[in-house]
Amino acid sequence: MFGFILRRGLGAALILFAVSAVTFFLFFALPSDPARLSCGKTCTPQTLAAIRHNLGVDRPLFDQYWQFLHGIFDGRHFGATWCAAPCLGYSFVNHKSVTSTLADRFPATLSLAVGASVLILTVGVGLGVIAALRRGQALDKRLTAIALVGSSMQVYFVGIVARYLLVDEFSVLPQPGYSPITSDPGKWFGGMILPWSTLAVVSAATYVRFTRSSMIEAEAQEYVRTARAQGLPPRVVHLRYAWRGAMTLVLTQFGLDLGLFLGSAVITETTFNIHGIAQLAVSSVTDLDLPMITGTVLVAAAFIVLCNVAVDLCYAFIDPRVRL
Amino acid sequence: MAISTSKHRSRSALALLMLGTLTISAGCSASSKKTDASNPAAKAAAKQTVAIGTAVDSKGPDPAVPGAKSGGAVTVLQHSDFSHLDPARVWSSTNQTADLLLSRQLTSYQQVGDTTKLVGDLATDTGSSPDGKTWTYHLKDGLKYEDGSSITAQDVKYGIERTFQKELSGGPQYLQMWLTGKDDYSGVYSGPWNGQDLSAIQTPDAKTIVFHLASMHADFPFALAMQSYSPVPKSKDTKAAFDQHPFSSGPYKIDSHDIDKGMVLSRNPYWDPDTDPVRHAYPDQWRFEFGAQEVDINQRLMAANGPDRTAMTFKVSIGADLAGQVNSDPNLKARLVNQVTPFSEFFNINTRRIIDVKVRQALLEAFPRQQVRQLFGGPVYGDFTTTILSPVTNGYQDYDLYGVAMTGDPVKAKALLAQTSNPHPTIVFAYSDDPTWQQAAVAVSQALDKAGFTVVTKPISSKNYYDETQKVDNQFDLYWGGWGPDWPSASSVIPPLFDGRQITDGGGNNSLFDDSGVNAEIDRIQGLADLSQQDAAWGVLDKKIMQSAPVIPWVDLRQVSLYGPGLGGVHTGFIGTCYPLDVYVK
Amino acid sequence: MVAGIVVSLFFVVALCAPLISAVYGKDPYTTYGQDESGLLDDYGYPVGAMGGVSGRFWLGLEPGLGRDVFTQLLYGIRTSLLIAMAVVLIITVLGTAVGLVSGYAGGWLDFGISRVVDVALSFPSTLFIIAFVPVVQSLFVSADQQTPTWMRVMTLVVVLSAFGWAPVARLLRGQVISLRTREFVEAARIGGASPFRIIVKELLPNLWTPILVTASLSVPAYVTAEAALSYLGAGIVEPTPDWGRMIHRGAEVYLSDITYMLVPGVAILIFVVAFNLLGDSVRDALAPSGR
Repeated sequence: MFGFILRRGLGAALILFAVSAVTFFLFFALPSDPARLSCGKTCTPQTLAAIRHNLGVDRPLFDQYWQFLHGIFDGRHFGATWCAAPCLGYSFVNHKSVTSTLADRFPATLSLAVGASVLILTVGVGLGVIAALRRGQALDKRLTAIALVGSSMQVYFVGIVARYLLVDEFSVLPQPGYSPITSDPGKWFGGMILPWSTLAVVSAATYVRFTRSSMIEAEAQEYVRTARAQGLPPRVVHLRYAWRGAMTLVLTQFGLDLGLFLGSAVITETTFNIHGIAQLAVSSVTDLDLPMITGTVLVAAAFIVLCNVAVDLCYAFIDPRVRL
Repeated sequence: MAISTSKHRSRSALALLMLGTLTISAGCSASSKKTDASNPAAKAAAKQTVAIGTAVDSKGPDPAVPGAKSGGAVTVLQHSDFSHLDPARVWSSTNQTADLLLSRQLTSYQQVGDTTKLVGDLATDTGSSPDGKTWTYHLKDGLKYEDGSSITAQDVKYGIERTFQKELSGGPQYLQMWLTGKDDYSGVYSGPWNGQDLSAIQTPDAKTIVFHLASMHADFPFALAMQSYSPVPKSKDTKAAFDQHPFSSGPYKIDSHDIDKGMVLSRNPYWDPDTDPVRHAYPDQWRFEFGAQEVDINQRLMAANGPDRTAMTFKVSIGADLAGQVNSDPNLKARLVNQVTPFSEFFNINTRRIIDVKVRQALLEAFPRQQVRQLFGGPVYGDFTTTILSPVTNGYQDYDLYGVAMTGDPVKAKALLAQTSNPHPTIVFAYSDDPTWQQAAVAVSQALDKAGFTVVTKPISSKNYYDETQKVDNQFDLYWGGWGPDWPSASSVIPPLFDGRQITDGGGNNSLFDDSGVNAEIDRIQGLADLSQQDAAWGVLDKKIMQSAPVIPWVDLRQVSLYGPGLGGVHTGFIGTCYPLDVYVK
Repeated sequence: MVAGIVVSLFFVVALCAPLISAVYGKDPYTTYGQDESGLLDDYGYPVGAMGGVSGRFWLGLEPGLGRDVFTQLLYGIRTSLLIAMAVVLIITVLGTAVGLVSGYAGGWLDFGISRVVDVALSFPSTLFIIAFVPVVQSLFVSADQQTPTWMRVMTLVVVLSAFGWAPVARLLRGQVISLRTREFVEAARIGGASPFRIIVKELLPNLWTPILVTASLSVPAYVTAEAALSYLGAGIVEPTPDWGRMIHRGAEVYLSDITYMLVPGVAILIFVVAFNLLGDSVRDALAPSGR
């Protein structure tokens, strides 16, 4: 167990290292000059050179990358500004540290992810189990059809149409958007309902299909058949045995999806104007804010890698057959 | 300075402007409809003048707004936080509007009804000068900061010295250049932080301040009205931190400022209305909320639920998407600011690449001004113009040199091109790479195609748009530009835009226009001591420049914004944004 | 069955778009609303119900420029399908090749390739693509030249493929590993067949099912991915008709003209449902055991 965690952790760290290097070097092709941005309107070549030196952008690329890594573990200076570890850089567009900006945006993305996950898993898995238990019946067919259409929908379409109908036309829901749960839980909840539901409509469908097929597969497994042959009641067979087996697969899928969440959140956050990490990434691209782009890409990558490790771990807990 | 656009029309202006009386009755909401936005022909009427007020005009208090009362809280919804509040760094119209509440200047503009006057604010009058070079001001009695300490002449001097400090970039540079006589003024004086003193400003006592300019500037009192030149006591200079939390000399002070989220202002109890001829402070509190998208801000203002009943915005305009709905609903229309601002927008023609005047004129004649305006919201975006100066600038004269339809006239343009060496010139049209401009590029290239031009459309990342188009050696032929004069005089429009000797990277002359006759005339006019003679001469020069067609005049922008039904006294001010100083809670 | 018909219909429409619009008498580029008065109101919105739907403009007019929505939709299919098909072709070939080599070779080669796949899968591809599309453009086009449309299309195909091959490779590698130890492969190896021959003659024929299923399910995925990029402003630019950009524009104007949002949104939905159904039936037909 411990060895497994160590091995996976090391592997994850190496992957992150590779991702950071690739990101750093590729994005250096972006036509952005942080020194010019900090120089103001009366910018003389001398001032510009001084700022470049201060920021360290006049040094060789490898040296800069080294500084970047150094900053993550040990903090570093940007001109007169000290950026404490873990320092992912300093945005010259917003004049803020990348780490604190990310921390600032994190609660919004987290709210979106947690709420949507709960909804997606409850609805998706629930309906999937029902469909599997009623396999072949009318309800199953109807659910399967709805799930197919749902999984073919896009957040930007469903979200905007729902917003138009529920918010703008009939005022059933408040305007979507993020406000901190700490300041006003009611407002937080109201603003997130539409984003959560939209994600649920689009993604739960996948879980309905997936749970259904996993359940059906699990029912055919030997250990379930054994259980049934032993004369256990069908409810116990379904829920204790088949469901448990199916859940490993569903959970794996969920972990992988969660890892990709930041990518898909780009659309969700844009559509609902949620100032989260994904929207930060998009606006940094528009602003050619290199340190911020590197920071968000790295955090998103870390998220993916962590979710993958977590999936493996959960796997072990749920399914005793998996050896670590 | 130039104005920027992003999506729709949020302009984070680098520039600001001043300006005078907007024709429209500045008083109250409902009556502010003399110029109906749906009628593009209805232009701001007569030529406006911002007169220089007397010492009597400069006495407080500001004449009351009819029906106004004190109390209540106003919510201001803004797309983003103010990029700067430190007066030394304030230049964009939104930032200037915020500083109206937090700072005072030696001079400022008093708006009463339809009249705008320049009056003494901290000073007892708008200044006196025997020669246009030495200007003397006396401070009023009873001027106080937010902590009750007195505002002194030394503080005014220190505030201006701070604008020389390199670290405090972003503000205008007029005084810095005029006091030192150098465009690159930092070689002469680099700011007060290392203990240096600016000898061009003398403060013989706590109430007297004397400016020694390097050359004559008849419009010096106007320049002093810019928010950048506000008093700052040396002991309260928190340097970089001043930007988030300036020390107030105005009617309000900052209670809290949560960057990018919100800010709350409460009364400065030491501010004495009897000393202030230009400010009202009716509400007890101002609450700013930052971060919502413009469409959401407009939705909230339309719904006006709860605290939003007393909400407004400084800058967010209703876009085309809501214009129809708002204009057809009398309840909404009754609480809409809809006024022309001093901002003008136009299309620069690169006169270094397109040397033949006939080709430039053909571009002007073929250009689809109406089609492009429609993409930006049509009549709610702005009023068509055919002149360089805007109707709210002193010296403005209405004329239409080319008499061409706003939809463009390909036939006329073709005829002009036929007289040139190449009837099918290639034109590189550069635009900011956002959805609205992408569509505008389609309209522009279709219209120019019809006249025989070959059009290359070139998107530039919005972030780099100014850098790229303001380069002297840019490779583009036609590109959008905007301008807001910093005070209501043509001298803050024509020289920066068309003086050939002011062509630099990042400058205002982006058509790269350099005509020796025009340059000489600019010098002659600036040498006139009488401002009204200057005004008349600028009007004539405006027309003369347009004969060479260095730009295609397009629109004078409108500010079209909703506000909550619980507010009164909302209208635009000399800055062009919704003006907070007459606002009251009903 | 229905799905197959609908999918073929989309292909036919894409191929015949010029023909259809010639018969219909309009094209996706002319700004009817701006050229003729009375079609758009003062603020640029189509006059009349449902975004200006009429006998003349079957699906209405685009707000602002006043182009014909029906022909934009027709031509938009071409853009979407062209890009999606190109990407799917590239990632399938590339992913299959890498997966086969990796799975069959094993050892350090497999280890190396697998780590590269790990990294590729760990990249937040959406963020990356948005950031990189403009960069790739600027590398190839000088300041005073028009960026050709094919260049834009190429860029999208390249960046989408750059990440798309990795999952295919991982899937195929797994399949190969399970086949590698089967008797018929062992037999071929003992019989002295070259690795190349084993891969092509023995392994590949047994992999057609997963390859086809993946490919057919990838087409709708990339149609929506391309639309999503355009929705975020990193896709196909004016004036080339494109579904994603129509939706992007629709999202801007939805308050006053929801029709312009619904038309491309519903079109894309029908397309994706049909293609997913088709993909399912391909899987069921080829691999009946799974269901």
